[in-house]
Amino acid sequence: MTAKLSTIALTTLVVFACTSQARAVVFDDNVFFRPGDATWSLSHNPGTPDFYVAPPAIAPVSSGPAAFGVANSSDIPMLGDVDGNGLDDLVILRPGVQNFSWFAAHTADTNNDDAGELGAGGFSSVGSLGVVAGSEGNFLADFNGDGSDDLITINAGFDWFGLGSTNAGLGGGVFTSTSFGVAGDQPFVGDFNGDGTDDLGLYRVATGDIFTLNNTGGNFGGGGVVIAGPIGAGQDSVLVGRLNNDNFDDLMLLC
Amino acid sequence: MPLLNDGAGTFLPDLPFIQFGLDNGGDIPVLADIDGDGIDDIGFTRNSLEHFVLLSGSASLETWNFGQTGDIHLFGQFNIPEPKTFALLLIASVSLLFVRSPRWHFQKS
Repeated sequence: MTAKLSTIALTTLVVFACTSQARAVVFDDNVFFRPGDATWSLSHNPGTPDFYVAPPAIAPVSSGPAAFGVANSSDIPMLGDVDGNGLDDLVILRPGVQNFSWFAAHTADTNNDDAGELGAGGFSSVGSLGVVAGSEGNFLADFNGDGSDDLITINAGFDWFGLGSTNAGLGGGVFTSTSFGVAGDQPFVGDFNGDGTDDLGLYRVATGDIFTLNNTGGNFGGGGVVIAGPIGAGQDSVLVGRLNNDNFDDLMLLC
Repeated sequence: MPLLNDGAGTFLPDLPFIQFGLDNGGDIPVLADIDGDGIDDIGFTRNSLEHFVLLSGSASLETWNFGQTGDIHLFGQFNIPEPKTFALLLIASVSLLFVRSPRWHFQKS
């Protein structure tokens, strides 16, 4: 009995030790969009041992549709996982006369080599979401926590509109809206309270105040407003990223 | 670049921690997890972009030719992440790069 218990304990310790150190290794990959011919190229980050191996040993690996978007146009390239399969998709934001149109080419690993192929998962679109004139920003962010990035657009009056994505891609999900911010604010999005849903944020340049509007239940603002600052008034711009080892998105102000 | 760590969901100001890039050179800042340590790395692109310049964990310089002038570079996840066991490694390297050629610059965290 003692030997059996010791074996179980040792096994448990080994399993715990292994799982406590195990984590998904995720290397961000580089995609570039060439406006002149609306082509996309993807360079898978091999992560061996760091980012790209020093030249000339490695060459970019290009894959995907020959073109997605309109050449020499005002198409705006974006990336986001709009179908929730764990791989980022190519998204085109196209300004029209009055409204934006959104188009997505879904990434899928069709040959099971653990490297996604651009456009291999089909396409989706939303014909009209967001007003072009005076637009304060457009984002792809998972505001309802379902694992797929949703559409967010902000008009000139700082009205935020969100349209949920589904496993089928852009659109088809919940629609929500709120008013948040004033003219001159810089909007941003990210998960600032660690609940797995992306929240809305504002940087008020004049005062340096940071405002976040936390989302819950797929609706903008369900978690209330958090105010921080004044911090770094007059900075140029805001970047959102993970800059430490917690589960909260961080901000970097550029000056 | 002042850094705001969120802590418990509210932003706590940290000291300005780095001067990196040129504010009059058309540099485009980027945050992306290049080395897969779970922490975003800092980089920028220069308008006439044709190269990457990276710093490895040992602060050595890596340069990589990629793209053409005018390309718009984005970073995202296009690989299936696989759970792996490894010792957590904190890589800290700080350097300033000021080169006039079209290159990418990353400060790896």
